[in-house]
Amino acid sequence: MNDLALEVKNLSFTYPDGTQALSGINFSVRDGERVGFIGGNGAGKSTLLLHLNGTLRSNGSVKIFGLEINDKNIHCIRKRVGLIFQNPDDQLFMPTVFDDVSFGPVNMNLEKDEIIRRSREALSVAGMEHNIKRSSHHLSFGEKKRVSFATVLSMKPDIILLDEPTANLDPGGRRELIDFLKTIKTTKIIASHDLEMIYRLCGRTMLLNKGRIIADGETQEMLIDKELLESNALEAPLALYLSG
Amino acid sequence: MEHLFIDQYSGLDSIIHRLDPRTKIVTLIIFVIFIVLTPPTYFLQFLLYFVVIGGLILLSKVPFIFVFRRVLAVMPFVIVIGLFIPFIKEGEIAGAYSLGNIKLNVTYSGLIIFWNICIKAFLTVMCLTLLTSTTSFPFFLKGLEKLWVPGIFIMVLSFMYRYLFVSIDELMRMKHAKDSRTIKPKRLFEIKTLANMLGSLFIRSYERGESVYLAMCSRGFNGSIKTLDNSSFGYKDAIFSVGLTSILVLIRLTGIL
Repeated sequence: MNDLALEVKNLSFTYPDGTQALSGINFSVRDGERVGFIGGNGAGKSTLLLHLNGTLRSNGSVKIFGLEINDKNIHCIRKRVGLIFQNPDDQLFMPTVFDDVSFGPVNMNLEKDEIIRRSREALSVAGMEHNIKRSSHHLSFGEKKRVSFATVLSMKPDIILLDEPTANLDPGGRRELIDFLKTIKTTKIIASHDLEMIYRLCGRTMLLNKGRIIADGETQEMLIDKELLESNALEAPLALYLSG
Repeated sequence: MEHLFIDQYSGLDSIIHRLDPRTKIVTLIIFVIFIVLTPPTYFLQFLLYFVVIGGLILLSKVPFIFVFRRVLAVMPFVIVIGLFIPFIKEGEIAGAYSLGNIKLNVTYSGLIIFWNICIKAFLTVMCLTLLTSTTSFPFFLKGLEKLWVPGIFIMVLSFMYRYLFVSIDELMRMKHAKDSRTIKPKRLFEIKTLANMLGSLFIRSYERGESVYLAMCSRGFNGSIKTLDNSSFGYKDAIFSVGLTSILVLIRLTGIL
């Protein structure tokens, strides 16, 4: 009926201290699409993500599958849009891994059996099923990242938003994470300045600078546009150069 | 960074570990009350209590040496508090010392009070160490929650458990950054720096609190934390609590008969 997963119209946002974080954002994302938000530090990537599941709200409209975010449907929106924060220590706040992964499903008021089933399934997708009783502060950074994914996967969202998923990971952990993300078919929006990761995961990319969308198009084309990238605090990935 | 566990040895598997946290909390608190209410001169009863706790520790497979180390960590505070009592309390004099002009009298009743404080502290800390080392902290919190402890306390404790070591890590990183830029440490300057570090630790924790709250909201948090209930009060729990309480009553009775 409506294959637009996400529709953003005329979105602007100013932080309480007067910083203009977003201005006049317009775009839409089709169901199943994988989109990258790229841009330098402070370009507005994270702020934009926080608007897409209604954590922050301002003038302009954000529609999720045709449903405009407002106070009444905010709980319904959060079931459908999962956001994974950059720092797993922010994402994981419960005493044990299992409590963290079941936090979302419990808040969705599901049946007990269904909560357990979903949490176990999410943990096994993330490869962390043997760690359910452990406490998050005893996990390695890479393991925390995996559990962070499980906390959102257990809610079975229609859209997953990722903020800098590869930040601080070692190259091995990063490669594993990219391969893992490839297997997840849900609509994804990834904010990062790890351009090589965006190249490997997203067909479409939007370039942000100072709260505006500077460019929106096919990832491959955008990432070889050296001039565009360098004038927006980015740099073309070395791997793309070497491969020609 | 690697840290000690608050609830070290709670991962072992034994009869005591498998009990419902509520059973352990309630029964061991009853045990503590029994110990506290025993008159100080009933030496045999204290010995029997010690044997009972020893037996429980043996059942729980927690190493004795670990329990003693925990107890030893607490005892110095107790001794410092209690040390003056034998000298202050009036009564029959057990011994007198004179240090120059100062005369010190030690009284029997004072010594009894001192013994009373020490033995009771020793036994109760053993009880509580048994509780904390056989119950993982999250499980302990669930036990408290079901014993009608207000949710806000549970939340505060749960976040403390989760973020205590995150904050310590943060402080250590700041300390490393400071140390690597300190050439010649001066005491006054060090204290100033420490105050600044604590200030920024506070602000960072505050900001972390904000982002954790955002993370909670985006997973449907609406004011109260709910967790799945998977504990159960079984016949083993009943046997444990009734059994232990009757043993304690018997021990108390030996003093009266």
